[in-house]
Amino acid sequence: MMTANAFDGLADWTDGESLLPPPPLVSVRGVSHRFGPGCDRCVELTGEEAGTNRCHACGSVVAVHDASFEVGSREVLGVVGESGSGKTTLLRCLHLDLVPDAGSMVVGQQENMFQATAAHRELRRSTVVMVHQNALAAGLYPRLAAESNVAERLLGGGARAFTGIHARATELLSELGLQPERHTDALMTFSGGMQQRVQLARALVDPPQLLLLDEPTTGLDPSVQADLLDVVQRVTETLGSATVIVSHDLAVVRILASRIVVLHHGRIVEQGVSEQILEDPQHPYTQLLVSSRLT
Amino acid sequence: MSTPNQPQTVAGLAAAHGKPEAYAYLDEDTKRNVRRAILKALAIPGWQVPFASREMPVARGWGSGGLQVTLSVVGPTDIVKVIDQGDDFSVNAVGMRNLISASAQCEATTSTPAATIIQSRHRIPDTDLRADQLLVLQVPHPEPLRRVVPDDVAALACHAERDYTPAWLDLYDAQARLGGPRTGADHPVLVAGARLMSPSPIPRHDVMRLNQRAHPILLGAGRRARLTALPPYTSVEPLAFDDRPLEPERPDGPCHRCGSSTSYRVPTDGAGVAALVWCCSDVDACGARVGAAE
Repeated sequence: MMTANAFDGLADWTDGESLLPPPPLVSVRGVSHRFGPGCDRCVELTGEEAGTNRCHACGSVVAVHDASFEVGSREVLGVVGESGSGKTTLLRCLHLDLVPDAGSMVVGQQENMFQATAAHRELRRSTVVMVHQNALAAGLYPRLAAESNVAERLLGGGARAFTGIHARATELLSELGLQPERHTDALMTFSGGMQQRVQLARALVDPPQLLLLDEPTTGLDPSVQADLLDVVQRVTETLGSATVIVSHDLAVVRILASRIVVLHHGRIVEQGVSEQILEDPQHPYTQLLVSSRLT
Repeated sequence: MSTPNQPQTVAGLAAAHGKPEAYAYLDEDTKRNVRRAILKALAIPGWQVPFASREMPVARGWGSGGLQVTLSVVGPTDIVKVIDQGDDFSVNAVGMRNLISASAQCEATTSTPAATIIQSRHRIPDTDLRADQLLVLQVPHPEPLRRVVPDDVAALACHAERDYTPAWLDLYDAQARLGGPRTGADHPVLVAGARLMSPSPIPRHDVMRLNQRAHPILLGAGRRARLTALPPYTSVEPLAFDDRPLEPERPDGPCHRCGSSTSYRVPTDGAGVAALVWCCSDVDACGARVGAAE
């Protein structure tokens, strides 16, 4: 038991609110990915000045070029941008679905994840977890029970005691607001909001170092959205992992993210603290994005 | 349409072409190919080795794989036994036994202790085999991940990475929703702690008897053209959670004929009684017990 003393308050203050920024858990450097044959002039013919991300010399699409950012532990980074700005390509690179043409990603103690010798399938289970916009289209098992989908990451990690896995999976699902009698129902019988909760429980079951959220609330009705945002916020706070959230909904990003990266034509045009970006946008594209927000 | 001039048997056909009849039905090249695959399979226990599966005088899926394995290793001094679901006298077993013994000029038997090669479908004989005996199992689907991964390429990747999470996940799902494994027969096994293997559709009672056998087991899948082998004294563990071990089938009563309560029994009708009764599935072992009692 702790005894009350004069340093209690101080300890809390230094733990929670350090004046120094937290050390980055995830450090992404110069990630570039191009679809197409590519040529020497791809980079100069695309981007901000060119106003496109398609190279007219060779027809390649420079989806992401030289994207660098850092995410600290317990920090939420928002990635915003219009359709076709490279959000999804960047996210697929971070999820190790795509190996980028250039760049590196260092997560915790692990060296460049893009060149990891361990199977990417294994890393996707242990280190990087994505919450997809559509749970059934990617990654999850629609025919299996909700709790099996949650248990998959523990089973992949080598857990072989049924009782322990079962207890953990059902506890998390109940915590995220799913009734126990539905835990064994097939995932495809769930509503969109419930599927997102299952995905969040899947992330929580064994906290990953990097959590990726791909449009977690898109396609849900406003009341479910508000409810789910609450859950996402709680999850990102308890996990202790670095979180990257991709969304075109600025309201969602504003609530969840502490820092924002703005992508346009495959380039990062602005990044900073979210209040600063949303209240005082510097780049013309960001100004357009912020002014066109429905409030 | 056959005319009187055309040869009616394999021996006659071979004679018409001026060649001696092939020993044990298959030509020497085929037998060599199958033997090489068997050696490779024995060297990598539990690994599915492809082989050039030939057309056989039984339909694919009716034991053509087991038949090719038996015909490739059989010799004139062998004594062959063929069983189907434990029964020596089912049509398919009798047909294959006749083919093997006739083409290899070897003896056939129904007695498990007397046989040197035992080809079986869906059962392992109740009598434990000796080190000098060989068990050949007929396999319809050699891929244990067939039901849990989308295609063969994905299954191959799982085997290459020794990542059997899909199979564990399937087992977990069945345990959570049904309270036990979904597999009635053909429960996947881990061979030598590393490779997942389909043991052919033998009941769970037999799956649990695969561990550390004194005799080699060869599994042939003719339709899928794959051979798998378990060398003697291989560790074979059924896929099961630490706190949910695999349970064998529980018959409702002892054998109606021999009274055994430890053998694998199946519900049987006929047998001179009106109601459904439980009888040993291994007819030879049951008969031996009845004979000993009299």
